[in-house]
Amino acid sequence: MEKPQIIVYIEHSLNYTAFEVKWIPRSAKMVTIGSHPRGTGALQVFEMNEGSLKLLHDGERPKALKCGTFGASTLEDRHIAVGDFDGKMEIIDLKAPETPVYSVKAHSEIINCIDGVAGLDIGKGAPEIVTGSRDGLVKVWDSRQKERPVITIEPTEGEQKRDCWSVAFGNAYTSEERVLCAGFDNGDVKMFDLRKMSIIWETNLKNGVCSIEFDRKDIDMNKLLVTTLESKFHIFDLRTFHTEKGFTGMVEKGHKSTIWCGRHLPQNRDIFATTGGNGSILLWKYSYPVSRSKKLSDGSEVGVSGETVLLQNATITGQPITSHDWSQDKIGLSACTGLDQTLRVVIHTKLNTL
Amino acid sequence: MDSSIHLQKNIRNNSEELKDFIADLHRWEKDLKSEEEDTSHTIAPHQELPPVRCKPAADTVKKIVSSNKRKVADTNQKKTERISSYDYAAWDKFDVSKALESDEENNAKVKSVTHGMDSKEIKTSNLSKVEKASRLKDEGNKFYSSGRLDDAIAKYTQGMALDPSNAILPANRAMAYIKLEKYEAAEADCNRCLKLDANYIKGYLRRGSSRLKLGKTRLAADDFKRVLELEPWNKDAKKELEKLDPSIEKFSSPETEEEKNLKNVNIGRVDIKEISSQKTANSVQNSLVLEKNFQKVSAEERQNTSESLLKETKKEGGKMIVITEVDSSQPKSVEGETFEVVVPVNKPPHLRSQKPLRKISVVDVSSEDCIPLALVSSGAFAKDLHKTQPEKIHAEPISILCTAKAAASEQDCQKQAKGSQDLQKTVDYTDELKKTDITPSMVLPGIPRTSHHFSQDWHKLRNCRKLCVKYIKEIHPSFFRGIDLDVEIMVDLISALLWEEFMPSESLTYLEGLAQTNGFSVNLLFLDSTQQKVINQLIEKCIEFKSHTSLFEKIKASLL
Repeated sequence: MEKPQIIVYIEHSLNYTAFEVKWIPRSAKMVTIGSHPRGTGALQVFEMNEGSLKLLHDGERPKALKCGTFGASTLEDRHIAVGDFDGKMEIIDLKAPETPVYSVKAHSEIINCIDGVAGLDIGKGAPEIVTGSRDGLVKVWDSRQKERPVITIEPTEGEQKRDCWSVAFGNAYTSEERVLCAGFDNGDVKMFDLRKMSIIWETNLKNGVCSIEFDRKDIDMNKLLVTTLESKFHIFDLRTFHTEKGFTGMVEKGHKSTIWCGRHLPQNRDIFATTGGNGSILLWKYSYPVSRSKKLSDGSEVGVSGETVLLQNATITGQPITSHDWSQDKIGLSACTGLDQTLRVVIHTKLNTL
Repeated sequence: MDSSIHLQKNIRNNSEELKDFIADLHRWEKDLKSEEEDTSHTIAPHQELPPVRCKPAADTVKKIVSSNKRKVADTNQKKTERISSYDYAAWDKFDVSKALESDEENNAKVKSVTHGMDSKEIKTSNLSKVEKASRLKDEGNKFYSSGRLDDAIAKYTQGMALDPSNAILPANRAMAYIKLEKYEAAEADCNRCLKLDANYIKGYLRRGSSRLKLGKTRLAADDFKRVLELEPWNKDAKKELEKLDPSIEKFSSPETEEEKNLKNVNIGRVDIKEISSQKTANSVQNSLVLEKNFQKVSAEERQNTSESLLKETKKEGGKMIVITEVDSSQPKSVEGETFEVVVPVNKPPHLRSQKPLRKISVVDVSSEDCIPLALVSSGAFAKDLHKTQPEKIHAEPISILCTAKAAASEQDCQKQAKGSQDLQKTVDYTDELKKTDITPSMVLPGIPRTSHHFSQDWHKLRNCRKLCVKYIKEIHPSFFRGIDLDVEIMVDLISALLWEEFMPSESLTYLEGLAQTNGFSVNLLFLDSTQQKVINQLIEKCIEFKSHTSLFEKIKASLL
């Protein structure tokens, strides 16, 4: 019975709703961002301290914060990029959190999702931040360029603007190659090649896309985890692209409610966790098929999807768990926040023996 | 039973596992904290980051195309935008210079946004330009060898515009011009080439032969000599030189001639304004030596300005002033001179020099001194001129102004040369001026509206008593109630009120106004004894008005 365990190690209640928790790279600290009941933004830094959490910094921002990422910051700086309810994107230096180092009115409405690439020694090329918003736009930012995005992606005229719920960078294995994936509330998933500046793939998953993640950002894109409403998640094999069928994917059900987020274990990308609207965390393992592609009768190649196995299932609260972040520095350590205004540090044992 | 034992074992294992994990976690925490303390002050090593995405401005918005059909249409459109390398017809129509221009614009746009990457960006863009220029040179060479000289010249010209630092392009164009028997243009191109690369032998050879054709044998000989100096075995130069003048010794100090020649390149096409300014500069430099000659020159210059263009060479006091009009149609009369073609510098803003502008210290000549001085000196100068050319002055009032200025600068020279003695003299001039009241030409400023306005006007007028009186009388006394003056100006004003031009009653009304200002009583506290005296004098002047004794007493009290 070599099943891993999922154990809540620390529970810390908050006086605000935390939408996102992120481990500060190379530390035992984490940042929570969220919304105070009065609509202001909360930004707190906690440090693990022998089984408890020590509050290091408690900051309040004028607008509620929705999402954050360290993905475009260097390991030395560790600046967090956050998006708020007003459509503002800011990069905050946690050593001096009062004044952001970069601030831009990125969108006209709430920024739902944010992701960064080429920071933290993950991915090559220019560090860039992508934001997705309710206004239907996806914008890419470079902190060296003030006020204007480097890329704006918007629906063609006459087309309905869909709420963008999730974004992710990937394929950043050279300084030129870069792929951006965006998920929308109507179930659309679009993949943009930022080198060619064109859409390379799109599909509709029928349910709103809550989270998107490449298994790794810094390799030739391998697989993509997409979680949706209605307790479904999809894994697409991105190694083989068929001109008509696109990427091959598989669907799995879990949680019996919305799957809020799916996150790959940084130390082993075949293992990933999903968090659900019922307050549960599921731990999965993906196994590749014998052959990742097969020839069709007309000679074209199409990808073959693998299988997922549920490793562990744990319900840790009664409210949805909206964010989950693996520690990059310690295998099996993760933090998650939910709508129950609680920050939890969760440990997963035996992950290195799987 | 087995299963229950198994379960128990499992639970024990799990709890041990967990214990281990947590112990490990604590260790990890500690390690990480100490590590963080060590590295908290490390600064990110400077990485060579790729530039900000060079999408020609983020305004070009990528559109999501949802339907597959439209996607295909889009990609097709993209394809048409890029010309296939095999589509020769399309390439023929492709306007390279236009594309380059737009490229440049884009670069500029990108650069204006990317801070800190500038130098690198500029380098790369220069590089690409240099490459393009050399490509154009090759194309030009092909045209040249196939005999299409005009086309070749066009290519070289394009190349020169792209890369003005390339010495070969003008040299090649010069050759093409020689073939076309346009020797003047060829010579100009050679000059340009040699300016860029003073050791380019072909440049000298071509210039020599074009000069030969233009009949400038001596200069041509110099060129060939120069070639031999650089490359003593050069047969062409030897042959030409022998043909030219067998009597000229092969190495009879050609250098000095050449050097002079090169220097003179710098004094090429200069328009008259520049020359005159140069002259004033010169005059300042060797003030006394040039002084006498200068008058002559400026007078002559005046003459010549009426003729609009002039052509003369003057050697005075060892200083050469060359005034020449360049006209390529005429053979140049002055030997030992070459002309460079001044090409307009047309750099886009991002390529312009980033060096801060040099600060030229401006000598502050207070306005009160400046005007009378100019007038005085013009008067003095007029006297001088009367001796030499009396009729000119009356004939050309504009030029008098000009000479007046010149003379003013001359006066400066004198000042510099003779020192304080002269300075005294000029001061005397101004004093004289006050006595003789030459200043009616000075315009009386309008009635001031603010205290600042008043202070400025007063500053201008204070040296001319008449105007001051006139000025003050124009202002209504009530104006002074609301103003705020410096101590100096206030005392100045009060001392002016002491003059006999003002009736005691008038003075009183002004004093009354002044006494009502906010700063008045404060100002009184800061007066020194002489200034206090002035106030007391004014009070004495007005003492006869018994109705205002309270005011006087108040002022006197605050003076104490």
